[in-house]
Amino acid sequence: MAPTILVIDDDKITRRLIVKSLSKDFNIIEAQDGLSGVQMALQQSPDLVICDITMPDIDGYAVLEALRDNESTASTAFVFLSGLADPAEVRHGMNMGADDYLTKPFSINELRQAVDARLRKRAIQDAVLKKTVDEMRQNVAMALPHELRTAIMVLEGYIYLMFEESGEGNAKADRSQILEGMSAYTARLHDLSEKFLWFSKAQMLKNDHQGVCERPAEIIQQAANEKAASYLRMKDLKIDVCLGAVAISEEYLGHIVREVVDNAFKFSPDGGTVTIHTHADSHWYTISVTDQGRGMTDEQISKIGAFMQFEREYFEQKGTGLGLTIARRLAESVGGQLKIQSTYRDHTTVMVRIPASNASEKLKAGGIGHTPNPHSS
Amino acid sequence: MMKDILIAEDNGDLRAIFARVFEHSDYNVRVATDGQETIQQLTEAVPDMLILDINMPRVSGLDVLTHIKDNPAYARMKKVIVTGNFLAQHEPEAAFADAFLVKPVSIADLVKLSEQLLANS
Repeated sequence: MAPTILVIDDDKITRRLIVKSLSKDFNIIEAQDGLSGVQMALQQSPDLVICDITMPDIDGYAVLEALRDNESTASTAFVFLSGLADPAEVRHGMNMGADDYLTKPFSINELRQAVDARLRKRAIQDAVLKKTVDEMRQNVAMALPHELRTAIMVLEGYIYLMFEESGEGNAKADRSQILEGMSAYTARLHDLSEKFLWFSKAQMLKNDHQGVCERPAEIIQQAANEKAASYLRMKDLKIDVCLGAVAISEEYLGHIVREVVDNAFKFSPDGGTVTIHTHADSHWYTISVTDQGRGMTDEQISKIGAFMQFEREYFEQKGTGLGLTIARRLAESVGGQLKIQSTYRDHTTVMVRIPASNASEKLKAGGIGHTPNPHSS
Repeated sequence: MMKDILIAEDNGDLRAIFARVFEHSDYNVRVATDGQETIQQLTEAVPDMLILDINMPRVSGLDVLTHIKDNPAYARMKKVIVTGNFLAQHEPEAAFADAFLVKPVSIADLVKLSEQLLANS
């Protein structure tokens, strides 16, 4: 099937030129202003949008912003078209998330090259995403046993030492050191078995999970604080959560946040900020967790299941990579999703979307709803 | 005579346990935290035995084996792989080792095996 390209330009001549040069290989749809352009993009989910900047009412920047704000078009390839050749304008457009920029007048060749390059890049990204899930499942089977093995062996080693050296009247300090090691690894085993339990639970979930959480802000804050405290990094945690009601149980929501936040702390250095930000609209409650860690390449995101393994050459990780798999599955079970955006060696954002709860809207409409204050707990 | 043993293991706790146990059994112990250090230590002096983990940072245990495989200086050294990566057993380099043990390995067994291997050498 030919990719669909949406052309948004108030100038009929430019539109005709583009249609003429591309319609042989692509399915082209046209909009003559920003508003209808946004509507068409939302309805038809094109593979690529070519959009003029200077248009009456809603200009190209506003179109891009509207598309980026919407889940279904947030990552659609976007090429700006403009007579503005000012480098600052170009930069502004790219900063806003445009993928490319064509300055009028442009040749058919230039247009064609830009379109091909964008679509090719998009195809690669799609393939990478598709690979993700498969690899995730494979790696999970390997990762957990490996973690278990090491932990068990360390524990057995400590016990061996205790027996071996028990007759030698070894120093108290020495014994307590061994005990500390034993207790650390027992805790690790405990966490691992807990994680495995959640993983099995998540795998078995059917998509019929029912539940409503009327105080997501509180639950998120609680779960995030708990994790930050466990890493002794309370000072690194920045939370900005909003009110809302979500169609997920408090237990699941709390667990998703714990896994995602755990991941953020695990993969970022001490002192690096972990930011939690939420956004609520009539359809979704979106939780974004950003860390200033090492960031990931597309290739690494594709191997999310092997989370603990990538760059293992440089960073020994204590973790199984199961966490995000669990969080993703829990989110999906309620019709939500989990996405990862990352800039290599810079930061990683894990975005979880949970459907807003209609049930609670009805409650509010009936006047019995309440709005808890997230800061009151 | 005291036997020399080199322990290559990236998990710090496990490395310390191995070191302590073998010191108790009267070995001369050296340690390496990754593959690169292992190769460096092996170049400085050839031990009687190498305890080798596989999944280590930078240079893996298998890479270490590849590196020393054709060097006659290491032919007599006993090589024991101790790893959680059981799939590595099928890697061609693994065949070069005298023993392939999958974690968790009982420490008592490891010590016993070491004694046997060295007694035969």
